[in-house]
Amino acid sequence: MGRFRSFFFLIAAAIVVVMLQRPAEAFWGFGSGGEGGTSGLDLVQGYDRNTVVTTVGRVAAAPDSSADPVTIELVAGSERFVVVLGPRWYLQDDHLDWKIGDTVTVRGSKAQGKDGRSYLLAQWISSPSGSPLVLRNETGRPAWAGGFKGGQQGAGQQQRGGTGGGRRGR
Amino acid sequence: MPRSRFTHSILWGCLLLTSLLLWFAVANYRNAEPVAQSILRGMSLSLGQAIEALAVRDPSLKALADFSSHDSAYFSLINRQGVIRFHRNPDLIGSRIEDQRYLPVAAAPVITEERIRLGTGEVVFETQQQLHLPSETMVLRLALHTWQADQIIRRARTGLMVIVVLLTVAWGFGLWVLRLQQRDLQRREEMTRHEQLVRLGELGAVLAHEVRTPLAGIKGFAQLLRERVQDARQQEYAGKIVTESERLEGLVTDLLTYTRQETMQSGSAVVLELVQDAWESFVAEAVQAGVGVQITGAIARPVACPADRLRQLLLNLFSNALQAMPDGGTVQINLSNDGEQATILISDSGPGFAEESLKRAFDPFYTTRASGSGLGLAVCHKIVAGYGGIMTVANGSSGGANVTLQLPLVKECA
Repeated sequence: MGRFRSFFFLIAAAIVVVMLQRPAEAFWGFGSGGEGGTSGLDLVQGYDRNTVVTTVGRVAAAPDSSADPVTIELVAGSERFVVVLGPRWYLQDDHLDWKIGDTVTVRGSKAQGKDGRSYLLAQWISSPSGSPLVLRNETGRPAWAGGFKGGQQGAGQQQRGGTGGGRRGR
Repeated sequence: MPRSRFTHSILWGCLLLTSLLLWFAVANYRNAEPVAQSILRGMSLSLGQAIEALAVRDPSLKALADFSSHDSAYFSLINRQGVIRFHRNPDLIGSRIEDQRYLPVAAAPVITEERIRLGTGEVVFETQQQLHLPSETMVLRLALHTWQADQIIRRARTGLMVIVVLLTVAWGFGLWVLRLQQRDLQRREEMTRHEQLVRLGELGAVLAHEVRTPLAGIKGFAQLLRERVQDARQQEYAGKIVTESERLEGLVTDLLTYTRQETMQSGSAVVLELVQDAWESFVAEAVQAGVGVQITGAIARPVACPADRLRQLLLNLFSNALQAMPDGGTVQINLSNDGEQATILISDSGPGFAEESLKRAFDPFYTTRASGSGLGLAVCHKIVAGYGGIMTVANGSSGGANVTLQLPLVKECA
């Protein structure tokens, strides 16, 4: 019996050693901070002006405030996006009141993750309450990186700051 | 085909198959990247042609705004002055391009391609090629998502890993089965040997009854005859009968000793005393042959082996040593102990063991002497093993034979 056990331990160890050769993001789900989890993208600080699009779609999965970063799933035509809003700590005081089926407009930098899913790193997103949630300035610098005050904008309010010191695309 | 040869053939076959599978998997993995690159290149050329056709049809480039492809991350048209004439992000149209990578393509009809990392962290396949409009020539910069094409690389990598894991499991299992098979073979050999010994034991018992008793009679009458006859020649013949009867008696005794089931009898022996006592039996013979003895070292406690068994063992070994040195020499006996075991090293200055004799020293009936029974060392080995010891034979570095006995010491009373 002992021999059987040591043999199977040996096999299990060999499998673990081989599997450990795979990139870490292939195992763990969404990582914390800007690691991007299985997507391989920089979901928190990443942005590229070359891939900026504005799209309208329906909410397919409401925001999960326990996830980090906070995301919403959106269906626009035949395409399904994971809209990345921002880090949990930054959005914890915001009222994220989207429900499944709500129609939203979102502008952001589009990217395809290593998991094959389409991501939209939101610059702003419309909200059912009427005022859009601004998360980045025009150049993509995130509000949580400092230098500009984001948040929900009232009618006629001006977005401040926006020096463009964030990560830039080529 | 012999069993070991068959096993070797199977092992070589498995090694060949393993190498073949690994070669196939590695080659597949190494080819995957060029294949993925070719797919992206082909996709880029097709999209480039479609964009050029649209741009030629509508020189204002407005029609390009409606052009979209799931495979493209973005595309832009840059004129020779570095101004972006069209971009998927309308905010960038009219601005100047920040990098100078478009210049070589603007200057000559070449196509550049590279994988670049965007600000989002995504790696895209970017190509730059000239796009000819009726009025001017521009540079088309096209970035493609690589996930779809890279599926080939991922599948090849997964295939490689699966093959490595399966081969590891198969080799582990195969070696385990081989080990079991070898143990089974060893067990069978031991059983066969045991059966042979049992048969030998039965033969020994028959000899004890059928040969020993008449042999005692022959020896007794021969001794009587030797004393009674007056003729010197007849006395000599009677003496030969006695000598040969004693030799046969010794053979029967050895055979009975070897075939007897060795049971652990309680008892202990002081080694130095027994060594000296056993050597006393050979003093006359040793002096006649010119063989000297040197006893060195000491053993602190008695060994856990009855004195009569150890004595028999030493007599056999001394007899062998003397027979190996008919023209004189030295027998060295070194005694030592390491706290748990006593070591008795008996070395002679004879010719030592032949290579074949070293391998078969403990096989019963194996002998290189014309008159030997081939049971001496076999009996010694059996006695030592029976009392939890180890017996080894070797040749000394400066010639001669070395016989080492390791026997457990009697446990110290607390």
